[in-house]
Amino acid sequence: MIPKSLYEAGALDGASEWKLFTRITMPLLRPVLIMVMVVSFIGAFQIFDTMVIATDGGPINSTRAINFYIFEKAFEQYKIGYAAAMATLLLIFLALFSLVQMRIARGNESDLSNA
Amino acid sequence: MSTSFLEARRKRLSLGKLGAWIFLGAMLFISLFPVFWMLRTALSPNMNLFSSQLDLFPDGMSLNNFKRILGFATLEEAQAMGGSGASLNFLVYLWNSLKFTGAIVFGTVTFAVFAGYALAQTELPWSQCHLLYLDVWTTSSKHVCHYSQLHSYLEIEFAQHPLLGQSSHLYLAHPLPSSLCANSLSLSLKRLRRPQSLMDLAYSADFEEL
Repeated sequence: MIPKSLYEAGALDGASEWKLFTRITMPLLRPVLIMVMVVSFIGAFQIFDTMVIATDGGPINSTRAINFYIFEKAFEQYKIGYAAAMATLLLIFLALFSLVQMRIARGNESDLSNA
Repeated sequence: MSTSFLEARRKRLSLGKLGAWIFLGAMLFISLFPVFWMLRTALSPNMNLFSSQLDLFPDGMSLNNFKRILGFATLEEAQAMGGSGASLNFLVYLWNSLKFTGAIVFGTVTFAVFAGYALAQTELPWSQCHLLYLDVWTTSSKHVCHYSQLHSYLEIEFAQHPLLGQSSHLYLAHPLPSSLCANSLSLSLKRLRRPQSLMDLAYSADFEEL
């Protein structure tokens, strides 16, 4: 919850609506936004049904995402070892990427608490 | 005194506590076992996978699968492992996923910020919950469409339509009914929210006068 007093102070200083948004709302929402970003990042990596229904990976593999590829390797070509290895790499990649996102954007600390 | 009492209670093993621990352990096992199995499969050579399907640990552990995927293994090595030697394009498809994910994350975060800003400006009682309602309505209405087989019915209906193209019936059958359903539900929800108290009525009267 962003305190109303901050908006009042900003408005008194003559900040426009856009300024209030970019200088107060955005920075103070950062922890939530990073959370949204990390969760939607992991969620978007799980795209499968839309791709299979709409394009089936085509044209020329341009809409074939990694988990569809893993699925094909494992359950259509029975290269289960490769598929498991790719899934493991994907797990490591996603974990690292989430960690980096949290670290760079300081997702676990709020600017409100030390204000 | 109260802390020592709490500590004593924490240390005492009761039947309920034991049950809770067993439940937690079981949940942990259910969540982590697939990950362990994935690792075990990734570390086993492809050749041995079908001969030792139920072995708990890799039969002849090796990192060859990883080498092969990252492109470090030669053709001879790949074929010795029982592979076809055909190319594996892990990075290409990872890149495809990343492109898609980038667009989704950009859209989600942008719209989430604006929606959050709008919601934070309202003084509605329970304003935090409205977003939750909306989310629950949209997702559950999708499932209503799904389980009622509306998609398949519409897909067949529209696919036979002489004027519609090859893939337009996919849009008409899948995203369209879901979103219509979701929108109508959230609209009806909005209409249901009547002024609850005299105070609300006074407020709305004020606005009407303005």
